[in-house]
Amino acid sequence: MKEREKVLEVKNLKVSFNSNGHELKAVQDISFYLNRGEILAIVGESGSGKSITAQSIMGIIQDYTSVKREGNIIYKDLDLTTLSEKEMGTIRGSKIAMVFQNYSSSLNPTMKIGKQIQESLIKHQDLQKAIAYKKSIEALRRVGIKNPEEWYYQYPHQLSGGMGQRVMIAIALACNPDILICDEPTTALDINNQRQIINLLEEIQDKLSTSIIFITHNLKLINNFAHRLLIMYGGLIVERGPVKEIEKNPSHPYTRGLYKSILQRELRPKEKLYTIEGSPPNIKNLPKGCPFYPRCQYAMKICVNTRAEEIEVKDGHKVACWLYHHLCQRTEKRGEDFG
Amino acid sequence: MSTYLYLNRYKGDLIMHRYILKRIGISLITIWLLITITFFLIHIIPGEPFSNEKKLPPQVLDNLNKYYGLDKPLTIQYLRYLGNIAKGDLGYSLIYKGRTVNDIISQAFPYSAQLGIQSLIVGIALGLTLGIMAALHRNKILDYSIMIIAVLGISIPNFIIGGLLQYFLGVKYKLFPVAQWKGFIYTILPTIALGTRILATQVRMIRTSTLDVLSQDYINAAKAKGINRMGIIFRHILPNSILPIITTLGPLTATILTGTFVVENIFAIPGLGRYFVQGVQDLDYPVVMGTTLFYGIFLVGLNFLVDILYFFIDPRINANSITGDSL
Repeated sequence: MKEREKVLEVKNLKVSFNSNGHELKAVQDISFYLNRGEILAIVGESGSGKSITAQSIMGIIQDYTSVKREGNIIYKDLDLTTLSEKEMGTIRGSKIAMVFQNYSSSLNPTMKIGKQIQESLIKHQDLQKAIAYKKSIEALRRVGIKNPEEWYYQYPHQLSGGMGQRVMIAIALACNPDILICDEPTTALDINNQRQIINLLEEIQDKLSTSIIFITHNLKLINNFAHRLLIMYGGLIVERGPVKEIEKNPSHPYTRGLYKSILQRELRPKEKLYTIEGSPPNIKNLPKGCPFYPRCQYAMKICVNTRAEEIEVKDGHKVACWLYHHLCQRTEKRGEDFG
Repeated sequence: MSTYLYLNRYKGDLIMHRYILKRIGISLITIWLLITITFFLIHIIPGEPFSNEKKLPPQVLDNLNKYYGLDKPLTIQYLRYLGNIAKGDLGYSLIYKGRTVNDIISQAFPYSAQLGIQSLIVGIALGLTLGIMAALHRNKILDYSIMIIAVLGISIPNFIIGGLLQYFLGVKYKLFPVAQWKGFIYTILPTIALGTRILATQVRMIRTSTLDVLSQDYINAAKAKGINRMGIIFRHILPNSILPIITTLGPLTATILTGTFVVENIFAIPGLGRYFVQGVQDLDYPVVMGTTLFYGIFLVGLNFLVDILYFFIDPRINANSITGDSL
């Protein structure tokens, strides 16, 4: 990255739903930024708020009941939270685009693939049909689909998994957006296709210098792919920093658990893969302190009621955990504890 | 890949042809059953076709029965009737002297068809619009008002709606003619009476299917592309939410045809429905048989058409998905 220009900055984002009088806090106060040409990975388990974060950047949170969104989302010099629905429509798809998790439910089953690509081109660039057709063929070719002229006229149900996700990416990239948000684009795919999609995104990022937010729950996938990493838990960012650094030195007990539960080598017979005990927090009833404390083997009294500020452990590598506070007695013993 | 697509298409064609042949066979059997059952049922009804007229001397009655072949045993009559149908001859009416049933149908059906088509267009167009509007404004006042209209439309019988329309718009405010069929203005009240029923049933179905479509990921994905509200409604919601109602179009047409019996009577429209009702009352065997047969072919044909139509409207339904199903 030559220039460290921020294309997107999220400041104190809070998202909550109102369900029968209960306030469900899906995202509780998170801030992060995205540099031009950077790949930022957001990792967390289901319910950690990562998808809601993505949807609130796009302003398309599905209206289950009533959604409350606070904070600022700044794209270049524009605060997206202040835009009207119509103004937002000119940003979506043209400046910030999104790739969804499940291609088979995210493509309109009654519309030809080509038409679905063309749709945003016509909307945002006001192109004539013939030019839009040409550009959609190009978009299909760019994501590695052979014979795009033929596939242009096919319907989504005729696509295979890897191909469907490529089409989703082609749709998102049609207008050359500055930011591409990928919400678990590989979760529904087999390992082979997962790798191919990652390679494709890498290639695109290289060629078009698109900034990418890549949401996943698969830490292994982002190793050599993403530049920076955010770990989310219970609607909070618990750890952040360069991927390489976090991989080498995972600091938050949750992050450590995540890395430990990855299959690193072949297991011996009857050997169990490491799992983090307990279950993810219920967003109806989040702990006042650290959301992870009920499952954390290092939890201290302070964790129950007070949330830790982010503490910098190394350049750009920050963790929100009391264990790293300079007053914490147990810091010296950390190494042996974690083993 | 292109071979794959080609092979699939080729295989699809073969299966499609077989499917169509099978359906034609089944349709023919259905119509034969219809003829047979109707034939014996109508003859079970006590009474005789000519007994309604002024006292006829027994000699004349015998001659009439002989002339129309009614003196023969029922099975002979039945076989003879089947033979005539095969030739496309539906016989002579027993009541309207000198008129063939073919004649009556070709004369009366255009009225029924016009009324039916008009009310179908009005009912479906309005039903679609209101149904989608209700779904888009779910659980708001607009939704509730539309649903109240729908429930009223379903629960109030045609003849009451017809009568109310005649009284208020025809007699009291004199906006439209009360009855008969002498030009477009005469068609408006019966069209509303029939269309209300169609609208009411459609609204409920469209609302449900639209709500289902609205919760789909591709609507959110379309929003993420920056498509505006109108684009989403017309390109993404509409084509998907009308799919489930296409299946109901066949039976719906049936409702309208039976509905026309009543509405045609109320508004004194010289359509097929009136001849049918009159025919049953007069025991005019050939007319009852002829109109029943006509409706039967019409309905079976329509259902068949709707099934084929599905192939073209829903790309996901291909030949593979229909083989081995309910047939």
